[in-house]
Amino acid sequence: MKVILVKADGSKEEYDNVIKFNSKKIVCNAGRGIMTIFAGNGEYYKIKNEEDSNE
Amino acid sequence: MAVNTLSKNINQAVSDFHAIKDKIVEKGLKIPENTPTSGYADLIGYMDYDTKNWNNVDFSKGIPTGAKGLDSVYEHSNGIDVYFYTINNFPDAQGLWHMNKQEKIIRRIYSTGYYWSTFFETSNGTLYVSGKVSAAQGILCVKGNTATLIYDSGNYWVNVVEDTVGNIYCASTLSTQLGILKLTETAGTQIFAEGYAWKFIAGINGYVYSGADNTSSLGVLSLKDDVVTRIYTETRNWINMYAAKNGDVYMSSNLSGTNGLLYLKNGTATKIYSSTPHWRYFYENKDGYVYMATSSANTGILSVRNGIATKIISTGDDYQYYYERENGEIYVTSSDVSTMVYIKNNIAYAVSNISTSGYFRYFFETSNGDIYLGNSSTGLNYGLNYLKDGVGEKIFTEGSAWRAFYESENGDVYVGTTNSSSISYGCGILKLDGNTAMQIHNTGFYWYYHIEKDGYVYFMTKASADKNNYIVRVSGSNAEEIFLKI
Repeated sequence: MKVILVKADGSKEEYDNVIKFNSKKIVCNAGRGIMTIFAGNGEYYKIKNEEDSNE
Repeated sequence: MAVNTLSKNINQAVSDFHAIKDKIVEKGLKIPENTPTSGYADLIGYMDYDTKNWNNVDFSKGIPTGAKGLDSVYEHSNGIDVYFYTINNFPDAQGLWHMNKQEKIIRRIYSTGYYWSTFFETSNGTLYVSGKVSAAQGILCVKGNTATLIYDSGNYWVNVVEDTVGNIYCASTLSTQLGILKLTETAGTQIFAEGYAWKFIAGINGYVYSGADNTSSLGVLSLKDDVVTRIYTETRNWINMYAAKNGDVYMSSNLSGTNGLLYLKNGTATKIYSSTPHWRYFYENKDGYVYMATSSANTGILSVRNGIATKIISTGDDYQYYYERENGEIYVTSSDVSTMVYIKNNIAYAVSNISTSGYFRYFFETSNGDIYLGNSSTGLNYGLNYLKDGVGEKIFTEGSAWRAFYESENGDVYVGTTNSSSISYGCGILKLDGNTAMQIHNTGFYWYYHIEKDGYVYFMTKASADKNNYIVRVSGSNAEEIFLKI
């Protein structure tokens, strides 16, 4: 699953290999390791859709 | 002559009709069978808005957009019903539109208003829909392709809740729409007439609790079986709410100077902690402890379970990000990045000896339980932290934005920097082994992609017009630059 972090300034950051997510947190695979990344103030995660271009 | 003209007209009409049918089939839609006249009207109306060939649309990948004026979508949890609305006052696109993904047919199911943007889906699948402009008056009850206006006035009925026995209550955020409504599939009925912008949270046993998001609506309400009771009368703005998994509800006020925490259960409110306003940023751990914090300086973390509140740490504030491991250990970082806390068995300890600057919100846990804490800030030497059993250590002091972590199939752990703004600080790729970090490559500073193949991990920088682009492959402690584009 690909997920987009929408930052407070409207810019976007894309994450691959996401296995769990909600608007404030994602968990993704990085090889055998597991990444957990929190969204900061004014930021949120959403599923990548057609309108989200590659950054 | 007249007969011939009529004959020509009829033939032309039949030809046109077949052309319309062909167009409908071409669009991937179904030809109406029983009442062709009304069915065709629906389809032709839809085709006016369509810009895609629906035959080629893969609905499993989401909802196609681009229908003229219909730019917003709500998808029902049944995966079949989809609703479109416009947020602009396009006359031809007004109202609410429905698409059945299986039939691939769109119909306008409510003809007036626009910006029907608030959808509340109940546990039985019924939708209650409210608009956010005055042109969208009232509340719609929507089931499949049927929309019924159940309340005919007001808008912004956006605060909606379902209690544990299926009652639906709602409130508007507008000061002109007072009170609370009870909603059924046929009608909306006002059951409380005071205040506005009531926010709701469901407890257990059919109780709902409410506080208002303004300074004129007093206290805390309890709702049960359509009866509204004011159960707490002190001050206002009780809008920070959390319902624990066991049904206990906690609430704090957002009103400056209104201190404390309320415990709500069985229709009663009890103040269980009397200091500090704005308890929020709730997190419930596996054992049912609810942790909360505020943004006020050095208010620490409050731990609450079964209505008993204990301050487990008094330093720091703004604790928002809880990283809970499988074994129950929790690391908590703060939004203001000044402090970090480790919680084990509901006891909290400050984590020292780490850098807490630079948005440390990137937790990487290896398959053997090592935890690295990276950050996203650029331009300073914030470095990289290592965490073990609640003890922190800054294991690499240079660079920042160390967050492109990867653990290979054989257990080697690497991290690249994603510092996109400056090469002045440490950059490149580190090999990590427990609490040691060895720099194995010292150029490149936006390592964005990893691929592992044939025993190598390939690090690739993100393409950028103003930076060099690299591909480096690493194996063990060796790093080899295999591509450079300046």
